[in-house]
Amino acid sequence: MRPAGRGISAAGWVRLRVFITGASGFLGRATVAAFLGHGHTVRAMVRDSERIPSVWKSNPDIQFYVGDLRRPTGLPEAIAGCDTLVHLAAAVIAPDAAHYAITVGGTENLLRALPGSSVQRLVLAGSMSVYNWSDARGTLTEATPVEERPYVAGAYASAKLWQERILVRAQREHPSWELVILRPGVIWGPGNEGLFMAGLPGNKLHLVIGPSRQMPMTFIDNCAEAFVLAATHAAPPPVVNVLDDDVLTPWRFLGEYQRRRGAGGRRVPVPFLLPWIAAHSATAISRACFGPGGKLPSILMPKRLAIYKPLRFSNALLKSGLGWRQPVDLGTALTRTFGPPVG
Amino acid sequence: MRVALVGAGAIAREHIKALRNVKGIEIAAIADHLSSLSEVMADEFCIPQHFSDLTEMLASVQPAVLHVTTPVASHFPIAAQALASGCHVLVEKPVTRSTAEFDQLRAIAESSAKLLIENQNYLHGGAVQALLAAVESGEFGDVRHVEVRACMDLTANGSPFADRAFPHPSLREPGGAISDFLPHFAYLCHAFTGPARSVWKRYREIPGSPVPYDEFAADVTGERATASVFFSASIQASLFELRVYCAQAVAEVDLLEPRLSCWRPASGTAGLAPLKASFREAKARIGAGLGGLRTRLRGQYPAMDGMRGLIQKLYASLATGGPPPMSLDDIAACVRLVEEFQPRDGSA
Repeated sequence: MRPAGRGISAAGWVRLRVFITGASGFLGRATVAAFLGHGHTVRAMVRDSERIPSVWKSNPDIQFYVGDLRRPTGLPEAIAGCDTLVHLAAAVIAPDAAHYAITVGGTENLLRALPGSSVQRLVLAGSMSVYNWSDARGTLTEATPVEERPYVAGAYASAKLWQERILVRAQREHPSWELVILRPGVIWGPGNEGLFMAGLPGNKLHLVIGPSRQMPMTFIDNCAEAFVLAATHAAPPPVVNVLDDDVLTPWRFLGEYQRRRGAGGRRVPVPFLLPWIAAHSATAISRACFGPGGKLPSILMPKRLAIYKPLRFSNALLKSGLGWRQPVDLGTALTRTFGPPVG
Repeated sequence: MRVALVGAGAIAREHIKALRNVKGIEIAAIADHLSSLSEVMADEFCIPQHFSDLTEMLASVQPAVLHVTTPVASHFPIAAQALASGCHVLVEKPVTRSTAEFDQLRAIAESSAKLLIENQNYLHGGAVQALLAAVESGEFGDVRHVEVRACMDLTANGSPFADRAFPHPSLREPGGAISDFLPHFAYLCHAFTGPARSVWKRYREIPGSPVPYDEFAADVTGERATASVFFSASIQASLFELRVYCAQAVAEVDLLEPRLSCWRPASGTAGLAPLKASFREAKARIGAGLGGLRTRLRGQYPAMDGMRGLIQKLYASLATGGPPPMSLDDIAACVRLVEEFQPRDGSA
């Protein structure tokens, strides 16, 4: 049964008019499909018109706005008439400065276009990278503190944290806006396999860090469904982690990848303690030699290594707060990403 | 001494890293037209104030020096405003887009008795400075010819120069992406050849390329020597080298992984000369590799060695009243040479 919410009125079903940034990206395509699948209309913001999927072009329920949030032109006009903003645009792999320019500066430009618009609800694609993983113990939830000084966790994490901060600040200045921040774990699926979360995969040797820990993963279509619920739910929680139900371990995930893809290489289990000791030793040496400005490879930076820490994750609030039920089971997700089981 | 920056992008981060090694200064504020970007950078680098308005920052902070790290088109108005308000100004390259703009800035700098400096970063790296010192001491004899060679794959997927959705500011300049590199070629040539008397240049397009021009070549006849420049924007290798041919030596500097190599007339047993030269070269390359690793572990880029050198010299000059790292005449000559390098109708 569809939960009561913004998509439902006393008179019946109401179609939301949703403006989606980053619509042609990995998460964007799935999110657009999810909103269209639920009967809503979408205005998709894409950076490059050549990346618009051809099936969208013949769909009357989707319109396009081509632009870059770093230098948008005509953004207020593009947003006009939309009641919901789903903000997915962000840098994922980029130089440090580009993370801030795209993720943070782009969000500031987006917010400048909102006053006077008909947007009532903003749904942000945040990230679980904003949490303080180093200090987290036991189960990481929405109540886990975020990093106060995120820079050591990398530009992606700090830009995502600042993106949240300026949106929360903007919402306080415009109390009529409803803000929902979804913090997905690692989003995986066809075209974005998320193997890095298992450790250090290679050609002949795959170093599987913490082989039996739970990975914070969400399959792309399952994650996209959460965005529809965040946009339509009557009273969504302000911050929700997005994770699938299945407990997926690095050992199994890499094994499924190898079996289904016919990929070679030997899996080598590496207890988290080993790289943890190496990272802290390297950091101590770096500080002694170069002071606080010293820089190490990511895998030797304790704050970045902490994503491999053996923690547990919960999607209880996703289910209780948004009414999310996992649409795609793990077996189907593995088949769609890596192919059918072999043998 | 209070220092401020305007522009909170990638190059501003390098300025801040270099400034943190300068004694006797305080990075007091940063401004960017996007307040979120100046706020993030202020927070990351513990800069006490951040602004979204330059005028407000200059009035409130009254910095002694302003670093201008904004896109090229804004250099002139920002530098003019800062000089007029009583700041010394260090401007990212190119200092201005034309000699006409530079002449105006120069007049303001001279009338207000403030320094106007262009970030000619590669010129102030340790290896280039050692080469200049050897040339100026007469150790290498007269400079006869200079070669500047650079390859950067600006067309690669992910390159900011190939991003059609968010065109790099340099793509608005006549030479396209190559314009971004012309100031480097100009000041490196000028330092060894003196002011240019004549320039020949050629631009080459490759059909289907995302950048307007893929190759640039130039020959410069200077007052003291000649120079040739070659730049490729599509060869898939990163290289930036300076080679100086002198009467008694040939010297080469790797500008990306700073290293100076010299070849001089063989002495002793002629048959062993190539072996000795190979050992010298190997020693220089290993030293450069280890030096580069050390620099990276410090959290800095080896190629920014020159910026750090220039900033140290600038603040030493301001502290002691000594000569500035470059004269206005030097900058003017480089701006003129960049203009000569730019394509004009029918020249490309």
